Amino acid sequence: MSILGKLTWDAIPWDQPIPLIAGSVVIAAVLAVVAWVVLTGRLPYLWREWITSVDHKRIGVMYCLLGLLMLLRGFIDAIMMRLQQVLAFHAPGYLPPEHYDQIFSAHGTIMIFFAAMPLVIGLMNFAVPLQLGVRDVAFPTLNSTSLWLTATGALLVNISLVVGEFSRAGWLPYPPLSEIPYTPGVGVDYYLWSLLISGVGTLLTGINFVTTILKTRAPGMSYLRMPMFCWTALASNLLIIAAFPILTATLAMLALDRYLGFHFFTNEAGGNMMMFINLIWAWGHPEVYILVLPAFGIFSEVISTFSGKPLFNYRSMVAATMGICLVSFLVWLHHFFTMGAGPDVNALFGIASAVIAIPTGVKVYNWLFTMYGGRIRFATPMMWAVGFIVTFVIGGMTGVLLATVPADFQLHNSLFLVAHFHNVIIASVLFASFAGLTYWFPKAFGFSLDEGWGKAAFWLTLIGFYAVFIPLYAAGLLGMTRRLQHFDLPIWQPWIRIAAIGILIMGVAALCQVAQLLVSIRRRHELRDMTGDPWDGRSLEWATASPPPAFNFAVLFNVRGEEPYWTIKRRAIAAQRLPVEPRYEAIEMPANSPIGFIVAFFATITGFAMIWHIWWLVGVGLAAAYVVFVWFAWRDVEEYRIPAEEVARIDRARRQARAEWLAELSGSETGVSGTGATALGLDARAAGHGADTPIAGDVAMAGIYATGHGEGGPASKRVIVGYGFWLFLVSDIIMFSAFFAAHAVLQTATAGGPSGRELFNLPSIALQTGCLLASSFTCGLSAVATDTKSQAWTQLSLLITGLLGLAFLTLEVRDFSAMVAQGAEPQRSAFLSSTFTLVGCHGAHVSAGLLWLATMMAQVFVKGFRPNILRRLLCFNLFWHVLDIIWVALFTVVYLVGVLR
Amino acid sequence: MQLKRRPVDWFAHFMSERLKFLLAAATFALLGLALGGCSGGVLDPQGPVGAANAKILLNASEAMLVIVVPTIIATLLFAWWFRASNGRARYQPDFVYSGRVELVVWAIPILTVNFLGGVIWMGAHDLDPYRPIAGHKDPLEVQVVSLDWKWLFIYPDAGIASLNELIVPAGVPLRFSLTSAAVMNMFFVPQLGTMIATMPGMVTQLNLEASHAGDFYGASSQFSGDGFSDMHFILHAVPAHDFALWVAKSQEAGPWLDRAGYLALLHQSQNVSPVTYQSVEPGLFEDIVTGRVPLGPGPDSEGSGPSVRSRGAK
Amino acid sequence: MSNENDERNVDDVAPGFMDSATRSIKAGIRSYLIGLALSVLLTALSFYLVGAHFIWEPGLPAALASLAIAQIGVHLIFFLHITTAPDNTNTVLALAFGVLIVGLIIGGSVWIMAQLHDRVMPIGPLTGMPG
Repeated sequence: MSILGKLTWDAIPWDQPIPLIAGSVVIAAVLAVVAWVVLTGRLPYLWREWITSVDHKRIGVMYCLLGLLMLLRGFIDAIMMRLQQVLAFHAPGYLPPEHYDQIFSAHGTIMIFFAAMPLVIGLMNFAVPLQLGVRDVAFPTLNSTSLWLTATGALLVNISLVVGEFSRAGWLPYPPLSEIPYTPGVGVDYYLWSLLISGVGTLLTGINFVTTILKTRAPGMSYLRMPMFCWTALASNLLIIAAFPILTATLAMLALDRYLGFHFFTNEAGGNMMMFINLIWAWGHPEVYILVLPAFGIFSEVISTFSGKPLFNYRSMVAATMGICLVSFLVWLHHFFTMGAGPDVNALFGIASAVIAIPTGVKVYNWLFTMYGGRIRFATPMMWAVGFIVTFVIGGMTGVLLATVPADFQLHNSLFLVAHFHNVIIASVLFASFAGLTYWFPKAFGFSLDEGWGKAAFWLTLIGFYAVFIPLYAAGLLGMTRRLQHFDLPIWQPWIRIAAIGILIMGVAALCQVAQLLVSIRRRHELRDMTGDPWDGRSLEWATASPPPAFNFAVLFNVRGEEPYWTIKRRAIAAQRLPVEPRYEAIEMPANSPIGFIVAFFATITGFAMIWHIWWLVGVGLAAAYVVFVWFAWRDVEEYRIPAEEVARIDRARRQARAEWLAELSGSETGVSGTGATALGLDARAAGHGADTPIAGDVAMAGIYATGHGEGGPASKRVIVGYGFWLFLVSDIIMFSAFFAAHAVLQTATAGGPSGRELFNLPSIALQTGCLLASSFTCGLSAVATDTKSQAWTQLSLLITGLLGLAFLTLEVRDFSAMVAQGAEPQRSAFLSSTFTLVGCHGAHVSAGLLWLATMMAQVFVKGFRPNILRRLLCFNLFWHVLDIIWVALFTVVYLVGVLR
Repeated sequence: MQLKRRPVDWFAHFMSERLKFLLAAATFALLGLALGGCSGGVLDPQGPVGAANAKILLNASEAMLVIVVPTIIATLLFAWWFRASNGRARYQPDFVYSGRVELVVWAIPILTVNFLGGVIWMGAHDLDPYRPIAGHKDPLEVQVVSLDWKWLFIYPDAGIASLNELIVPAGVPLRFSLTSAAVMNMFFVPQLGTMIATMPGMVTQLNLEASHAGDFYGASSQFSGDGFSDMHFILHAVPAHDFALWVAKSQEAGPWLDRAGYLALLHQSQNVSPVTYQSVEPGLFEDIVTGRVPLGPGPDSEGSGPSVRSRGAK
Repeated sequence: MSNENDERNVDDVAPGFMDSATRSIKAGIRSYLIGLALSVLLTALSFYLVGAHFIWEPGLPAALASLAIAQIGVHLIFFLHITTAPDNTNTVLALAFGVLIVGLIIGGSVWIMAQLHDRVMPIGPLTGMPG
């Protein structure tokens, strides 16, 4: 094995013009951009204001930019696929299968993970903290890390274009096709590492946002006062916490099969390929709702704003959202009705899938009745929303058809299925992203997007969409299966031709989107939004300036009802004056940090090294990761201070613009200038709505700002950190549950090799358990010692905890070495693969815990009990006790029940 | 906002004013869809299983269209009528909750899903692919093996086999036992109905019947690698006595499928012409399932390096 | 935005630590001692049951599962200090959500895979497949 592992010059497809030219163009473009940035001296600005930024708004913008770029890449793949099929009737077309297979695999992977997810997460990043009326997310630096890890995944997928190949096994690599014997190249490895790395980023986002929404809302904002988008963001991020660990575990098992010759899903030694399909869809179906629920949230905001009405049946919408969130975890089998499952299983999962249509239908009707009695302004976001409802109900209908088991028996894996999920995802996620981008763009940049180009893009997308996917429905009903590189049946051909025309229309639509952006930037002075409220909005993000200052709100609002900003605005209009100027105080904001970027840099190196089997580089990457961790842990200054005068200066400018707007508004009853002003609905019927009876003067304006303590509001940092870490532990337990599930299925698959009864050394296991229980006890004592502010006792009990942990690990390693010596290595059977993995995963957690412990003890020794170290001690305690809990499940299931067999 | 009238604004305006045009186009497309479904696909079933599946498909579509079409119309109607420029529409910003509406919007989907749930339960049981087709005739046993990238059909009673071509008697229940000799595939004859997976080391079962004589397209519906697009075959349903004649004729001529011949078949190949074997090694299917013969080796050893090199499209 | 002030607040506690307002050193140590004693006891009982032929063999996994669940409960209460107090609601809800998902994943997978196993695994002599 050479120093570069499997990497040679042959990895670059010199003889294949398409990827080579495409790759060269991309590389040239990237180099040109980098050169431009460096030569014009913008690099320091970029580094300071964007790359190292931990501001949720900047991070949101960068997520959206990543999503849009990858959307373009995935869309080019789509055009290539449509063109291949239209040229491949009785002909080979222009793409050979080994290239075509990469393109459809890359299309699916990129569109879901690196286009849809970043767009949705980007919009949540931008809007959720603003809507909650707070200054940032719970963990700003972690947020930046999430972004850059996602970018790492996207980068790896795109590197595969020119170095090696991408997966040829589909966007979900079903084994045994994705196993080494059938797909020996690096393509599947690119897939695995890009998703394993970006999956960590996504999980951290989930934890971050659930903590943000549950623990850091503006004072007075109870759950039932949150805007709908925040509710859907909560549901979506809960699903991320629940589902992404399953994806990580499943892909890790496939990686173990491919890298170390384990037998989770192989054809040999008791591997069970069906288990992969089962587990990947246990992630895969909730993933659909991770994407779709925030899209529903965006449409709720848009429809309500542009109809000039509160969301109809808000509570029923909340119930429907949370209902979908739960039921989405009960339907995953509908992705493999035709794998041979029995009628009871099929029927129950089919019915559960149909049941999801109930809350979804309720949502559609509530949007309808939000429009009813409204005064609808057809700005671009509203166009997307109406286009969404019309299109989405068709997708929902075909979805229920596919949940109808006998219908699925002949539509599964056909182009009907392809048309269905594109219908649902494009209509909801893509339309919502475009709606959301247009809706929040003025808030982010201070000027609106050009309406003409936006509407042109909308209409062309809509027409192009129907022209592509109605024919694919038809072809599917005619029995055409998905992923065909060429075909010979003439009855399909006309439909494939129409679809090709359709995608060209969508291509023109994409050009309109680009034009919209460029034209808007050129006309930005005409499109400027001075008031911060271009659409006559209803939630708190419109209460601040466009673009908002780094701290979002000079003073936090005291929320006293649904639609707080609408209320404030109505009162201001009724009283013809702004609220009294609040007392400005200095604001502490999280300081920029390069951590996220550096972590992602090393993650990229590690992932690339894993893909190409460059083991020394993997070592370098992991070591660097630890160094970065310590460096991060060591920092003391996490925040910077914005002085009260600065806050006052910024906010007074905003108030000035508002005051002018208000004066203009009361000056002329009709035809106020400004983008959304016609819609301010300044007539008697609307003025009183949403507020109590309008009262003149200061009384009406009193109490809208939070005055200090005692009104709720963001929790203390200790609680935020503790809760976030608790969520991480919950996700960790869920990851273990995937390994436990695999073990439950594979424990009898000994493939003629040794069983647990012959292998397990119960006295040693008992001893290990003893070590771990005792260490949990001493760990608890350290918490008591910390409480009494005794560093000596804390350090002593932590030391004992560490030594007991070390003893546990030593015993465990000894046991497993003995097993290997007896010939019971993990490559021997699926049973041993899953045993080694499950126990090994726990062992790896203990090892990581010990490393963490050592670092923390050093820190306490050097720095004493700083607040951030105390928070970490709290987290370590939680971690260590949860490892104990997992061990209890583990020794019972693996060892005690294992020896009974 | 005073805008110059650019072509793009004209287009946007034109589209907004020409909703009717779009609706007409969509209706036309849907009509085309319905008509297009009438020849050769799953909506043109040629057997009892396909007919039942298709009926359920249509029933469920109809039940949902009853709701979906009015919803679409209502959406467009509300959006149009309550546009800000319509002075005749009554602005009701306080209409944010209505118990009656709430009841209706929950009731409609619940009742629909109630109906569909019943259909799903009964359908999943009645049309379980493992369930033999009721009838007076004894079923024909066919063993199906998916290979990289071809289909092998073994007729255990006659001791013959065919590759990439399936000849069956019309009007006789067919009982398939299916496995794979390499990766997962899915056996699918759209006009006969239900598809089912073929998986290495496992046996799935499928019961189908062709009501009439005819040639029906069949394929794998589960992507299985670079040669996947050529994994299709024609199912020839022939009258029963023609089938008997074909069996008798096949038993007398054609190549033998012995162990060595099978091992050669295991190697990846695509676009293989149909072959009929006059004899097949007894117990071959069972040996494949239980691993007594090896499974397909995958791509010919090119080392484990990047295998982007073209092996030729066809 | 969030206050750096780490003073503990009765209404606002971090999950599962000594944050509760009624804490005292003695109570803390006592809680950990009780936890240790109970969990050692339950562990010992589990290991003992496997060795001793005390329980009807087929019922043994159920017995072990019950003991494991009991022990996990002990850890949650005495080590992680999960309570039903209102200040713990979010913590408990997150845990309950996790447990629900874990149950669905393991239970669902085992059920689905068992059904599939029954239907697709060749059992007995293959000639004359089960119909």
